[in-house]
Amino acid sequence: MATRVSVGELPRQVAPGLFWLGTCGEIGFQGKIIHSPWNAFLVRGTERTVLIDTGAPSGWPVVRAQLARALAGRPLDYVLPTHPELPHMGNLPWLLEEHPGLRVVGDLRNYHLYLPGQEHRFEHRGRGDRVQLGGRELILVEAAIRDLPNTLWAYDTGGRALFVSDGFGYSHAHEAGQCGLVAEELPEEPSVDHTAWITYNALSWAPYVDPRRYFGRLDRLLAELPTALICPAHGSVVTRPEAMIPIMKQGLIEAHAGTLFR
Amino acid sequence: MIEIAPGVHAVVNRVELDGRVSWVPAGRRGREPACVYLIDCGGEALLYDTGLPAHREAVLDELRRALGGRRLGIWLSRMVEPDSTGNALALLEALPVHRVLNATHTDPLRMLTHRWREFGPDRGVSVERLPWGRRFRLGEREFEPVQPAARVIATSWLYDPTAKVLFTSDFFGHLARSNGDESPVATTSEPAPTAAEIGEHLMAKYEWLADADTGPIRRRLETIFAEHEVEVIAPGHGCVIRGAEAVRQHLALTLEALRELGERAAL
Repeated sequence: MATRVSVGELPRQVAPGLFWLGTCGEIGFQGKIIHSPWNAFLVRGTERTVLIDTGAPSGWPVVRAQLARALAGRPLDYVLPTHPELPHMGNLPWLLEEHPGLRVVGDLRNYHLYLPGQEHRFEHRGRGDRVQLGGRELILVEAAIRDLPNTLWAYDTGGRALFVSDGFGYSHAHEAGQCGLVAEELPEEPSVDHTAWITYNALSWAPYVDPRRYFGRLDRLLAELPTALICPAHGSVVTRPEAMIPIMKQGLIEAHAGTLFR
Repeated sequence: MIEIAPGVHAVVNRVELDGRVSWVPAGRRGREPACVYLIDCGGEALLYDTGLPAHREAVLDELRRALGGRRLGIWLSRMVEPDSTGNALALLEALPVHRVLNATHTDPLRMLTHRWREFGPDRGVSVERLPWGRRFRLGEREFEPVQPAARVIATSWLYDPTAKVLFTSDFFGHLARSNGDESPVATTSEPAPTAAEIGEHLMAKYEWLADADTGPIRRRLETIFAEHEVEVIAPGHGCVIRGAEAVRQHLALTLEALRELGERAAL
């Protein structure tokens, strides 16, 4: 078990040039308080930087300070909101205000209605598009597990990190100082019932759709992109994907069966 | 602003369907009504959703005129999507909002801003989560939060038993218009869409329906309409559906669309 990291110690560099930012919300689960992370990730290339997701509006002052530390004086060049829900894009107004050169990339349908007057800073990108950062690139890929259709995942070639947005979400029992731990450092291994609970609540299709329908596209993605890190918006960073993937899949199956919650 | 039922007004704006909107099929063109609903409760009023940021000034202007000094409550149907909550903070700053209500989050203002205290408790604004199915009174009017038949994220519908209006957030929004001059209210006097067209519309946002067992969703939808007398369906996007016969027609077509999607998924 590794040293505990408090949320105050984020940003945490989880791979060279890849920083984990974010805050947690506290929610009740089976009579105790657990954390629901709202993560964002900064990737620094030699020439450009990109923020994946923005963190939740409730945590903006914290995320803002974390971002400044992670940038270490560099400008923020791009932000990729994985999909248009507040925990993923809600800090865009403040980011655009604070970083005058910042451009928003991704599937930006609807954003002209959400951020009127900022369209000149949008770069519409889709699956397969690449954002060159210098020495590494961010590849936009299909979101294998998603709620909104205008969701994108991304892959950082430098950190071999897959950013999975609402996929691979889970929470851990709340103890002070656990928020910045990667999955494999937690005192308790992420369990199927934790992943299932988050999935059941976050992905509303879970009761109606057999998730095994989506495992093929997830497996294809993982086969195409050598993945050392899985970076979810709503869970700890995963450093041993090969161990976590079966747990995540089983959590999706359990969420579909609903036996834990009905 | 138009009255869609006694004491219920729609603040109507329009969204240009030009390929940049994700909740309609990609090829659909025209102008889609985007509505928030102001419900007269006597000495106060309730607003169902807050509208798109792109329509902020228009929504604020309409509400200032309509309120005439009355206090306002706000119902938020989908906490994390900006087409539901996008103007909430602006309304809290500009209008005499005294309560913020929803059915899914205990502390909704925290979802919107780190300055939630300034917008809520510090102003004496009451923030409440009201459970599905339990009626509550606001001034002279009663409401019931309704658990939706289908959702993408945490969503709450709302039923007004006085005017027999069901507010359905991002569901039942399948009717757009070809231009901005046409009425945002649909009745049986116009041709109804086909079930296939409604299915295509549902799939734009609820794409997972292509893989779903839609039986439980259909049964939930049937139960909602069996337990609530609905004469007006009031979605956040798309035309208002008015009249008991029109409601029955669009409900039947939507059920048929869901059945067809479920059958295809089962193949």
